[in-house]
Amino acid sequence: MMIVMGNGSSFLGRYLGQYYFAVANTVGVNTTWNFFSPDPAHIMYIHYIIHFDDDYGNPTKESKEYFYPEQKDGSDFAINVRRHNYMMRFIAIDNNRVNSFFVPWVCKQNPGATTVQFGLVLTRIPSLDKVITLQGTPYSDLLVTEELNPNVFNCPK
Amino acid sequence: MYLIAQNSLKKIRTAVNDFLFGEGHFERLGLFRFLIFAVMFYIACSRQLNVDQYGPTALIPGSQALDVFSDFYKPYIKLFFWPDQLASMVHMSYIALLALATLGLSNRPLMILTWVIAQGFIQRNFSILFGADVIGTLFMFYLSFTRCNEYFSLRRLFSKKKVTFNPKSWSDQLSTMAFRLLQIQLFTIYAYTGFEKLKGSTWWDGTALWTVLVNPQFTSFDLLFLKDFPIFFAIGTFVTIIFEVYFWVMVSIKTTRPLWLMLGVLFHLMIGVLLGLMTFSIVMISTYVLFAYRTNLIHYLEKALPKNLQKLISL
Repeated sequence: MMIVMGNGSSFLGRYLGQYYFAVANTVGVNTTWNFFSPDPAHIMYIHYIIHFDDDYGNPTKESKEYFYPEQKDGSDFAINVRRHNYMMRFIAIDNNRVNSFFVPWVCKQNPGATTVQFGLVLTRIPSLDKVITLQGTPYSDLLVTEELNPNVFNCPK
Repeated sequence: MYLIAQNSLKKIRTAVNDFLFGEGHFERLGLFRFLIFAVMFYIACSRQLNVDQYGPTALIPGSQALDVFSDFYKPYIKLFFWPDQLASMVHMSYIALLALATLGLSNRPLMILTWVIAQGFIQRNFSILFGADVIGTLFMFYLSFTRCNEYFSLRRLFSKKKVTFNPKSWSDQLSTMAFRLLQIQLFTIYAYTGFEKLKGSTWWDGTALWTVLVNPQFTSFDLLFLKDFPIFFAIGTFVTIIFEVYFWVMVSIKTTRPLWLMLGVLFHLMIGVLLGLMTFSIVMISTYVLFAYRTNLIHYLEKALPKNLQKLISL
């Protein structure tokens, strides 16, 4: 079971898994053992703005801008802060998770909030080849930052 | 012909029996238990600072905790049996149980309870996990079936009862089988970790370590200067994959085992220091005890331990 479930989504995993999914999933053996794989992640954090509007869409309060985690570049390496980094990655890569978990959480913390403007900021680390080829260019100029999955979510009523 | 086949079958059966139930492995299990539970104790103490993420104000509400899993990975049994309001208290109890297990004052039912709570916290908020949480908890599960409290435990310091191994008792059979499962589980983890990396273009290309080591979200050191030594990344990336994929082969072969384990210690210490993942590194390094030769381990510990603590390993 433990050998097959390392690649549980394979044909063999699916075929044999039906006999022990219940145990494997509960014990935690049905896991993909991927650390920094298939490719290591780039720098990312969530940028969100909370809006407070009335029923007619007029702002009732000034919007608030936040980052999650607060230290965008993850410069705080405290073990409890790093857990938030991990949580952010888990949530941010899936829009459904953003909508189902992140938005209601943010709205709950900000009573009166009506919408959350969400964006995943991704700073791509330049390839080693690029950095070597463009030796004279400052490294910071080689970093490309973009905002992915921009979306506006309504707070649950 | 029939006799040859019968003899071969007998030999295979004896070999399998010896492999599974040949000896008690009490010293290795004891030291492994001490190391794993000590790290898990430390991790849990630090996680107490994040306990709000397991309570009523958590990002993932308790009622939706299992929704983060796709159907394929969804646990069949919900192990977080406590209400969110009691998360902090349950977590404190979990820390106490880990302390007991570290000192060797636990037993099988208590260790299973410890594992249930640990796995419950994993299920309760799957998004906030470190690799060390998942792997450490899995090892705790296997350890709960072993007689891992015989050595390196406070109980041993005071007990006058001699530790004996009876291959016919179900308790000892269960223990030695779980010991072998621990070893196989570790092989599996390493192999799949390597295979997963092979799916990535940067690992195949030999530049994945670059992306990891200059990402400020992964490392607290400024390692940009390493761009002047690109060969470091190429060799480091390939060595990582080769180390992981072939771990089970090289550790199974007695002659290459010390080399591979030493490589593993260096590899994990580097990860621990450079990526600030020391807890994960210690979890992984502590599993190497399972492959240490019993006589070498005892010899080394006799030298390392002060006289008054020798009883921890005495037979």
